[in-house]
Amino acid sequence: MDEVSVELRGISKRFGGILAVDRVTLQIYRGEFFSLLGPSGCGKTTTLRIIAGFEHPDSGELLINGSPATHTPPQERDVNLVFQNYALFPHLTVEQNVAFGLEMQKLPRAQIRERVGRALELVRLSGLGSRFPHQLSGGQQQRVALARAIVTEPSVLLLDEPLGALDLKLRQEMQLELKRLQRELKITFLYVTHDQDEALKMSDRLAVMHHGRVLQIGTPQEIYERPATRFVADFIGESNLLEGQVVHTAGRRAVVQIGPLTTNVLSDSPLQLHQRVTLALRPERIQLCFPNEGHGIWTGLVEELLYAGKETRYRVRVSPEITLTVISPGTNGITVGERVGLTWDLQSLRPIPEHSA
Amino acid sequence: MNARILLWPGFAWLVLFFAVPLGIILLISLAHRAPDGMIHWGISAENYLRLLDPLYWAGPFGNSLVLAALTTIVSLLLGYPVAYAIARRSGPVKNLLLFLVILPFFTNFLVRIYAWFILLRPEGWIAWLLRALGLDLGLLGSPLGVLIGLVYGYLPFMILPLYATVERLDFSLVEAAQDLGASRWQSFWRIIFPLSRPGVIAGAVLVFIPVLGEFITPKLLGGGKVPMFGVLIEEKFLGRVPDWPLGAAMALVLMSLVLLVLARYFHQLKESRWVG
Amino acid sequence: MGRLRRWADRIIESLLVLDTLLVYIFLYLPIGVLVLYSFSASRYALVWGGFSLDPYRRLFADPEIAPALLNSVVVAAVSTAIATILGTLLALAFERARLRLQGSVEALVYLPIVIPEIVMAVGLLLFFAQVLRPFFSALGLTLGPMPAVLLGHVTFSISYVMVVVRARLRDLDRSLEEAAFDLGATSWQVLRRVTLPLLAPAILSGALLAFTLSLDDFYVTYFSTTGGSGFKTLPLYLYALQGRAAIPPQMNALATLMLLASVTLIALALLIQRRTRRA
Repeated sequence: MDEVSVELRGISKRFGGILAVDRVTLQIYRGEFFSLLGPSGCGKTTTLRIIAGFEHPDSGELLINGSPATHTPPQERDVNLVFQNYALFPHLTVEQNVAFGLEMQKLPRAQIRERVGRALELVRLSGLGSRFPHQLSGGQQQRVALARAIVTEPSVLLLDEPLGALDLKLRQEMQLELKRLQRELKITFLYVTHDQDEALKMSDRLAVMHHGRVLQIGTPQEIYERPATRFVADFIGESNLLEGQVVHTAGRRAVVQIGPLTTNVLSDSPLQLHQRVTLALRPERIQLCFPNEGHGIWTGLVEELLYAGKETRYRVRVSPEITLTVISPGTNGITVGERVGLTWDLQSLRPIPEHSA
Repeated sequence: MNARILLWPGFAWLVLFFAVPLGIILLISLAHRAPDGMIHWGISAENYLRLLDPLYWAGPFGNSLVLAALTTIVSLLLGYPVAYAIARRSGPVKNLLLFLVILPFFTNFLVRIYAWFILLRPEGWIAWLLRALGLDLGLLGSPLGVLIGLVYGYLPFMILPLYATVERLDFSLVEAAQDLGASRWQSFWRIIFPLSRPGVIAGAVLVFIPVLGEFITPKLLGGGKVPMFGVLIEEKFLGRVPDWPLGAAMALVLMSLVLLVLARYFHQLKESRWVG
Repeated sequence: MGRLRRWADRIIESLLVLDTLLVYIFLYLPIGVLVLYSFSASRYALVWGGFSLDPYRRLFADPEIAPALLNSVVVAAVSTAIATILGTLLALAFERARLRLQGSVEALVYLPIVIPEIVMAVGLLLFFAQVLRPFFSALGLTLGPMPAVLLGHVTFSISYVMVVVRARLRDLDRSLEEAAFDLGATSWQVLRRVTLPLLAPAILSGALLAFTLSLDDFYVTYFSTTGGSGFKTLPLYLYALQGRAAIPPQMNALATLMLLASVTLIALALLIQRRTRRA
């Protein structure tokens, strides 16, 4: 797990006047499922294409399996790409598509047949080998693209939003399928997506990108529980972002004043007195209770209520300037215009270390 | 492999057999024709000065310009409704109508002109019909006969780009215009026609340019009585009294006229996707 | 007002339908007459003399027809082969390489399409007379009419093939070629195994276009052979027939057969197009 499979050192790439990739440094370990997550235009696809060899970085260094690969042409890199639109050769059958990479290696025919058969079996497409891509459904085409990319046994598989074109149900099915494949093949998966849900579910680790920069790298849990920037806090799941000032400190504990309200904060590194700080609070980590029972941290007025079946969203005004979003499972009889108390675990309220952005 | 190598065979061919010949036309147009028909190399503008003679412009050059303009206008008037009608249909009917426009265009030019020769001759049906109506027009050997042949030959060049533009138009704009109180005619004239301008220009250029250089139609349907640019050029090279330097100058003047038109409208041609 | 407007609309609409109808009649009337007259029993092409297959019999008996047909087909086939290769290579170079002076190079390649054909024909005539024939005779060789015509036909066909192939190349999904590179193919393998097979329909329609243009060509052939003396393709033969004082009836038969050949060719082209669109 500690062996580095792909390493990027200060990679930058400019298109015209736009810095698409800005000093990206990453280490992806062997056998890891690593995701690049970010909104469209954040530079994640360009980063992937640099690793595949279709774009050349303006500066920085790329290492694949420990050896420099910045200037290696794509056909000599031990990585394969699953294209967003699959890029299946329309004039070749499924079998011929999958065999393409092996034929390029000039393997004996018998071996090619055997490995193509195994790859198709692995993606559960045995029996469809003689079809043409346009005779397959979207999900099946996706599997062919996967088989074609894994059949040459690359050490890294790059996947560029591979499930983007599929509908929700098929997508969830393929997510499980991809995880299974990765477990069985034990190769490094580098997965690009804009879907935070997908990234959290599937990844061992992920990097959140925005405006060409990597904002945070970590396990899904680290990213979700300890967002490093306001952007991450808001992009991954939802967050109530509260701006305040430290008015009292005691070791890792501090009291932060937010407008007319105060709250206790527990932080990893000690906060400075009078420091300005942004706090992130997940809507689903807030509980609503009766206001006069004394254990509510803050109280507020329910201004809006959206019932969505498995959960209900509330907008609660806690001070003239501040409203919080709260998500609770089911309904609890609360109506618009009611006064409620709000509570949360101390660990759920995270100070965000950076100051701006 | 460097993809640049792929350029060389075709490029070299076109330089040798296209660019060099154009250069030779230029050189010869600057030379002098001796009374015995031999070419005396030199650099003079005498051939171009001879072309300034009003006789040329009142005759062949004028004919070419006027007939090219008339062909363009008549083709537009005839072709626009057809292009519009095709574009507004859908499915197999549309494909059939389009196919029927293209089909004659793929038959040999000489064959098509010859067919008009049969129709237009004095003993032909059309002349007979006209005589019955009290009109005695000599069609064959008249500018009108040549015009009919030219319109016939180049009409598809007008219809196809028009069709391509009209077909891409968003016809909900017409509904929007009608919703705002425009009549059908108004919504056409104020919305559709302005939006199909690139197609009109493309069609006009595609008709006007080749007609300027026409030689077969005036020769066969004009019977030598309707001289045009192309006829004159042919005469200077393959006629009984050749004058290559003068013919070369004419060819270059013709080409310059065409390039002038193109330079003016090239981006509209591109817009209508009728050039590369 | 409203009624007047509705009336005006209706009249305009009927005029549009009428115009469309007339245009189609205009397009097909001459062709119909031609086909009809090709079955005329008269000794003159322009006189209807009752139904007969005589014009066709005369056509096949004409000793000039077979060589003209052969010349046309040979010139079309050879020039198409050469022009298709050169034009395809040009298209690949324009779309897949970064060229210096690309604008000027492209201008040279598009120019043969846009200038009047008679200018190109004149240029070739002068080139043959002033450069190529003297050059050949200096080597003790002669430049026959067939090679001269071939040269000319290749020259005007290259650009058309290029335009057709290039359009398809531009629409081609770049990620297909990238996928092949990614799977370890070399540039040559990508070209041979992915790009060219995907371009095949466009190359074929480019070739068909070149073939049609060549079969149809009059100007370049006429000027390259200095007026068709001694060497005739079908169009030159047609032209010569029309130049006669009394046009012989085989003219109609030949025109009809050429029409039939064109219809077959275009139907073939459409069939190919439809098949590739489905794939």
